[in-house]
Amino acid sequence: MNIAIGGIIVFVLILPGMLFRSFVIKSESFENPLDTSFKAEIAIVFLYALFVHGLGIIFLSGFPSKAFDFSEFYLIFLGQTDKVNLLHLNDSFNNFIIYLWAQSIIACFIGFVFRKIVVRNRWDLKYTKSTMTDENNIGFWSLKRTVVPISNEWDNILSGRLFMLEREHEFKEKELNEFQELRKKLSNKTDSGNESQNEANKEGIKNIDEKIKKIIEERRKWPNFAQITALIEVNGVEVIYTGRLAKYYLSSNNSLSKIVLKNTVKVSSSNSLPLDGSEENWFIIPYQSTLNLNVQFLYLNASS
Amino acid sequence: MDAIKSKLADELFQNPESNRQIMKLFQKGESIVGTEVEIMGEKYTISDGRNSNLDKSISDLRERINKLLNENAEK
Repeated sequence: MNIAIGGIIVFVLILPGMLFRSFVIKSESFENPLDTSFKAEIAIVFLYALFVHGLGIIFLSGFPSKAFDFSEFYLIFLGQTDKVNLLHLNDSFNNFIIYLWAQSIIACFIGFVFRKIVVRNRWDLKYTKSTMTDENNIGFWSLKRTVVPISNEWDNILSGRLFMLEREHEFKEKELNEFQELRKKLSNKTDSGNESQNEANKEGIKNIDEKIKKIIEERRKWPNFAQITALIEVNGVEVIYTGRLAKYYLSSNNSLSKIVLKNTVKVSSSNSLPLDGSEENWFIIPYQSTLNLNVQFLYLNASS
Repeated sequence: MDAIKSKLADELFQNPESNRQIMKLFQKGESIVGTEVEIMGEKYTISDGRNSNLDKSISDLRERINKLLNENAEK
């Protein structure tokens, strides 16, 4: 009986920590799609709960008449109910429920805001440029986990977040440095003796600034759609399907459950499903039968 | 989770003509990058983000700065 009550007390006290953790994870549901160890989960939940209850105790010390005593829960947890002031416990029960509700709502809010900040600033993403390059001398990028791993790696790839990060970063690293260097050279020549040339240089710098701003904005433009080409195994036969990515479902352990394609066609010939590539057709590929996936993000640029 | 969506891409695949054009390439296993399509009366080119107008814009900018620097050197 005491073990059960102790368990309930622990659960109730770590509830704000559990809610915080659920709201921090970037997911569509309360399911954890990350590859986090049980120990890490426990640590986050307990550390958060300890921290906010610590703050709660400090805050409640300002209202001694209405406050409840945490030590009473501790005594119940230890099974020493005879030492508990039941009258005080009874009087402060409503306050405790209100306190718990407030802590839970605050935990959801903090978790939600924290996730928004992390995702917006991409603190959950880190990438390294490998030394391998393709024929255009453009490096291959790989994803590295960060200290704020609140998102699923497949989500980062399929949502286009990683693609966008690379795209923006590539410009910043390569071209932006080059243009800033060229701009500096031009700026040094705006006080030469030739007035018309100075004016032309100033005008040139203004144009360059505008153009750089425009290019950065262009780099921040999201693709219009993603094309997926999947090599999958159907009854021992390897088949290639290609189509437009419509939806994807994540699963636990940083994995992917399935992807949903629209406008799908079968590229290689086999006795697999015939598809007509229609818009209404939803083609679902379970991840366990997928051997390889090629993800390509595509833009529709107005032809000049 | 929803994938990247755009009205333009929806129009591309809902329009029978452009859809047929894309599906043909999909079936052949060919890349659709560089394909010109017509959506709502406007012409668009499918790009993978690398060989787009942006790259041209960058090279134009580079050319413009170098031209200005050369003019300065000459005077």
